[in-house]
Amino acid sequence: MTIVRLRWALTFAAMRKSSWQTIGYIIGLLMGVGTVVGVGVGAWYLGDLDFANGTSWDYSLMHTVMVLGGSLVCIFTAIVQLMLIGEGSTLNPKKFALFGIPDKTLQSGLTLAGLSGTPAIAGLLSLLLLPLAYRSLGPVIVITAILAAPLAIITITSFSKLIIALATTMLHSRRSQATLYIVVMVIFIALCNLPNVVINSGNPEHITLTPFQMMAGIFAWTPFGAAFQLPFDAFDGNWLALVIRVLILVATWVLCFALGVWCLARDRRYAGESERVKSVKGIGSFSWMPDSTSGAISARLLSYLRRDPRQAMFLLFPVIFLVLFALQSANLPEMVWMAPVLSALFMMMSEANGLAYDGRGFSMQAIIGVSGRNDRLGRVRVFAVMGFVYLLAVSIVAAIVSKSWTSPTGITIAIVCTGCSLGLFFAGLGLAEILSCVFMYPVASMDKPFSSPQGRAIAQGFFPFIHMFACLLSLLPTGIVAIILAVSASSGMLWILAPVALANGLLFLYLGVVLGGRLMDARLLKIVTTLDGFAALQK
Amino acid sequence: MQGEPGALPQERQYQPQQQFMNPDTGAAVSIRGLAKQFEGKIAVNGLSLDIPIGSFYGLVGPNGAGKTTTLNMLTGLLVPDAGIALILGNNVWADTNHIKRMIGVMPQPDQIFDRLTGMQLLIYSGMLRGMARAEVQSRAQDLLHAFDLIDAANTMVSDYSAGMTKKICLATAMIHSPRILVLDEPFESVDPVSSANLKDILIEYAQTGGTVIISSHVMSLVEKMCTHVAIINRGQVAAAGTVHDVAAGGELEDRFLELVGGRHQAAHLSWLDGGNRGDGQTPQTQMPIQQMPGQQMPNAQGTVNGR
Repeated sequence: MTIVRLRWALTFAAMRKSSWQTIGYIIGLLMGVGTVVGVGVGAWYLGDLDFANGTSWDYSLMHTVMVLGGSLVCIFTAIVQLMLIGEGSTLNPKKFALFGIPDKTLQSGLTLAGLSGTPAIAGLLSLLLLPLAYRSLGPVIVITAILAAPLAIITITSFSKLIIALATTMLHSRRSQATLYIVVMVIFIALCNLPNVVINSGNPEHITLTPFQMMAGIFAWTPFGAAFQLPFDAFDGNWLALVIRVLILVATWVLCFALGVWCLARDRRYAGESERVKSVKGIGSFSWMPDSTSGAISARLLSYLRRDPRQAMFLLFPVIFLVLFALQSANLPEMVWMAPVLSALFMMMSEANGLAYDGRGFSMQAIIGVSGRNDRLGRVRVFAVMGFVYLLAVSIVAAIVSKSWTSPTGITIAIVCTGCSLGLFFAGLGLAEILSCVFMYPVASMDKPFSSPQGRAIAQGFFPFIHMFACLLSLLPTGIVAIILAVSASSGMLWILAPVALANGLLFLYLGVVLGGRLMDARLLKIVTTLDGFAALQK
Repeated sequence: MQGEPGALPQERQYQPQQQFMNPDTGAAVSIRGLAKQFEGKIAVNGLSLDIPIGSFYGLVGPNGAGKTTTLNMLTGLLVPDAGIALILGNNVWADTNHIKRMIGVMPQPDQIFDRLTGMQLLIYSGMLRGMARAEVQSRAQDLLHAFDLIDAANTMVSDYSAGMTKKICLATAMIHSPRILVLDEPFESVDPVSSANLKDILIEYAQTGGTVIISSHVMSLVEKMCTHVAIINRGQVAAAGTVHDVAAGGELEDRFLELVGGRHQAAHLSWLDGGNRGDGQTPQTQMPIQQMPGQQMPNAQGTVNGR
């Protein structure tokens, strides 16, 4: 109970300290209320459907959607927890290490604290409103659904707590954490795009309910779907199955609890264990980068990009896009050209907050007195070369997938898309060099890519869009040329867009280095102070 | 070098009539009337100080006295609200980047890129200052040798111990052979052997004409190593001069406590009794604390003194 009180005390304290926190919290609260209202209204209208006392197609559909949907929500919650909220959020078991609280007490306190959080409460209220959909089917199913709601929430909370605890406990070395981070992100993006891939790769008219019903049947016997299946068991009068499923849920909680306690004990036994020291041969890119101040910055940046899972994520985008669009391009081969264009748009998103990724290490530049121009030049050198080669490679793969050489239109599309991607990328890089001196937001520390510094979610949701919007705006000249070509119906001249976009992009790249450099000189000390503030949030 | 004569400032320089005196352009560092406040709290209050060239200068003071704030304003990392700071006759805030390259400021352990190896970090810090790669590489080797880090040259700094990290930080500040070295608590968590080696390097550097400015809490270290000392209290200089002059024939630490104040009698916390709970569970092996006639607990005293 003390831990529950502490949890809320910490939340309120954080709100007092920063108005951004308060705004973030209120937005979270509104989202919670929105979910509850949305689910309630949705369930009410769903209840108007004709379930024909459990025999209609509508009933089977609802049954499948409830069980599968519930299971997916459960799994998603755990993954999102890993990605966004992380263990560093409000309560970290390590912070209690000094107080000698018995592991079991601590673990139950942490679970209770999780259950009393806004997401858990909003989830519970939503699930309690869900039975509105069943109202035409009689009181038994409604009452069981109401009773099943807290069971589902306890399962989701226990499971996500366990996932986080396991991830932080098992992965002692920084390298394995970095790998897991990338794997989880890729799985998440893949899961999000699964529906698109399923629909676009096959014939949508041939999709039937049967395979989904089978999946729902399987999930109903797992802890993820069991709680959502309970009302249907009761409705069917299948009481034995209901009892077994409740037992499955209880066993899951016990297992999660026991494993959580085990994690705490293990953490303590291995606390402070040093990881294997890895040494690096030679001085790496410092030996071949230009022998200058900006060369030092380039070499440092390149060494870091190789070791930083947070930024590596963004550099994986082109590959992910390529795979996704290649899978979806069964009906429309040109679709694959979305990959280089979207990659160009997204790849420099992290660089638009590049200084925050540098963290306090950037202070050394301030101590030494490096000019902003040199810094920007050093960064642009690395990203421009890397992005150019990378996008060109993606474009070549896209050309192969869409067999561009087979038709004149194909060749034109290839040229225009490649040129525009490169132009967009260069413009995005240039803008990133300007924006990163002004709009910074906290990022997870390199040691704990899973953690989430307070106040990140809000700024992270908002600032990247400034960059994206600016990117699109910067290509306005190219857009105007495109419109002129379209209006004058000179489709044979479309290829001209490629050099125009490229010139457009390079102009913004130049402006980015010059203006970004000046901005950095003017704001240097403010940037250092901001980064110090971010570092304090990461602790 | 102790007791070296020179154009030394008088004690209690902060007196108003001296604040706006012309700064000494011949000094390594000359500060006049430097002031800074944070959200209404005064951190540095019209501080004035001269640091002669070739001196090993210690800045000492209690926590929150304004040492680090002063050093930050001196090294171009914090804009002062008022006052002037000269380094070797150049105004720090006129061409900050130029000044920054003349001096060597030791970064804090979290102000470096610790995913580079020790060697890479040194090369980085040299090349950032515009030095040629070949020169940096050979100096980095020398520094790694001198600081007993040659075996860890190719290890990532994040895998270094606290003391090793401190040493590599110091090395990054020395690679360009600066004329002035500014070090904030340089020997904290460095083991005695390494710290003795470091001290030798620093003393030799000062003897060849370099100026070392260190801030420290460790009075014995300042007394042993420094030629000059300034005691900073509440954002002003309480006393400055050669160590010999400031100590005024006594122990520097006693003089420090006298100037800074804040000492009080050991507080008696009746419940802090080392196991004698007085609740019936007491192992009756010790006398109750109140019954020790005329004695003070040495530990309690030490704690309160902050030693």
